[in-house]
Amino acid sequence: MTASPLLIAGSIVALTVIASLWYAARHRSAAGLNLDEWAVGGRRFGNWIFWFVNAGEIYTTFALLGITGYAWAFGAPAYIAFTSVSLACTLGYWLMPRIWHAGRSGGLLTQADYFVQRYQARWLGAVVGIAGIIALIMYVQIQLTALSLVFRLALGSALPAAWASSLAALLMLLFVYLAGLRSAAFAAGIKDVLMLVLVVILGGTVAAKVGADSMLDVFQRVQQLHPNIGHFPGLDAAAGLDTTWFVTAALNVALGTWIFPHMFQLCFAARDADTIRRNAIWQPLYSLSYFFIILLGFAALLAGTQPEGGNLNAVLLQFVADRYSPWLVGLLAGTVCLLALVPGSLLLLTAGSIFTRNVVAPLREVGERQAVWIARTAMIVFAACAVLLTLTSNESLVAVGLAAYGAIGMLAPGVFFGFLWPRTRAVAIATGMAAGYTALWWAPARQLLSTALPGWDSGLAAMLVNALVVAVITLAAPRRPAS
Amino acid sequence: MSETSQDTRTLRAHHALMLLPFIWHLALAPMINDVRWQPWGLPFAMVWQMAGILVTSLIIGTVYRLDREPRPDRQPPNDAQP
Repeated sequence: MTASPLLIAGSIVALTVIASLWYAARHRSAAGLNLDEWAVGGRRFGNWIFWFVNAGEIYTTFALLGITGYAWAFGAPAYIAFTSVSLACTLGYWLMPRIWHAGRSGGLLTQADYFVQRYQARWLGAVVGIAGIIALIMYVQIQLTALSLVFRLALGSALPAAWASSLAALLMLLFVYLAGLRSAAFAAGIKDVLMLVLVVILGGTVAAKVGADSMLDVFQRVQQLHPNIGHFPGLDAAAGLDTTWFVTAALNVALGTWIFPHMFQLCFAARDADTIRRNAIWQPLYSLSYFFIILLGFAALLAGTQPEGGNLNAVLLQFVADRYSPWLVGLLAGTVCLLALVPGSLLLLTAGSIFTRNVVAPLREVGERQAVWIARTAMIVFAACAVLLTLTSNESLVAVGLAAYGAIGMLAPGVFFGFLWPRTRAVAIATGMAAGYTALWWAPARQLLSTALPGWDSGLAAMLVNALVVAVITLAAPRRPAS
Repeated sequence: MSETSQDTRTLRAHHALMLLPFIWHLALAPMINDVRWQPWGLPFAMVWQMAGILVTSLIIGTVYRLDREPRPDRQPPNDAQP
């Protein structure tokens, strides 16, 4: 990349950061910045701002780089993008107002707070907090991978991967320290507009770039070239991405979306339950834009794009760098940076506040100043963990994303039973989690499960184990525990 | 503000509509996968999933409207509080 795209990308990021900090400063309450304002936006988010934070946390680099790469490498399995938002919103219409209500009436700030309150057990809050942090780190890994890809595109692949992702983590931490939820919401708005503009420009011009007559012609040509691309299991039958995979993985994503601590916490930020419900009506429509994203993946395939090292996460960047003018490369690089920075910083912010509030605070007295210090130090450690994960893994962003959903899904029974089944107790939830994680991460158990439920997404299978254990223990336990 | 959050605890008959997006996107997906028709040259499985998004928005919107209608079995809706 020459100087001009680098300049464009840099100015996009810098201007957005400055504008969002200015916006947050203007809205700061007279009482100064308190934890309520920093973490849940003072619980005053109305329709627009709620829409943008929500969209901001759903449409990350997972969407743009991950799904184009998936479409390029596998074809039909990328359709999972179309289901994720609409099913999550259907479930969310029912679930989110309940979370909001619990947060409002209990003065809750984090997801672990909910577990503490519902199950009357601080230890469960700590366990859930740590589990949530692990899943958040996996999600940060996605954003760091994307950011370091942009850096390596911009500064040349001579830049070692370790340096690129450390630089990315540093940038993310800087943004977290400066921003709270409100400035992140503003930056999310800008990045959403940029992403839509970018996707429409790229999608609108892509046909000419690959010698097709129209957008639809791109689909026709790619299907002539690869007759299996449009339906499951797609281009690579050996990858196991058939309809069973699709149904179970999509269901797991839908069930897990609001269980992610940052999404759970986002519900608390809404002004009222109606804001949440209205958002659920309109939010799915936004995901129609995945049409353009899949189109770009298919176009890259037609164009014969070969990313360095066959890295499917880099397909879109490589394709645009090969075929488009420098200013568009700059726009893409800047947008990807924001797509990674904004959600990534929110993830770190959430992880830091959970650690302070639900893991450390129950163990020892924490003063207000100390709390900030602990949260910031913890965020550095979490970012470092994410960097390490980035370096050791070479997987597709979608695969990493699904693994993160698998991990967070272990908290889902605790949330759903929490609202639906008053009899469930902390011990049952914790035992279920232990069983679920064993099924998910202990290789022999995982293998056994995949023979019992062939082709299933491992996250959903483990969630089923988890929920069954909770149900059995709850039914076996005496109705009224002796107090 | 019209804060109709009182109903968070009760499920009503029309909430069954919310199963439809799951049926459309997931339960029917294996069947749809075998259809080789290509409307506008697009893979049918993809068109189906995109249509599912429109259907979902429509259904959530419908449920939202039905939720706002006063319940016949309860007299004045209790959102008269300040």
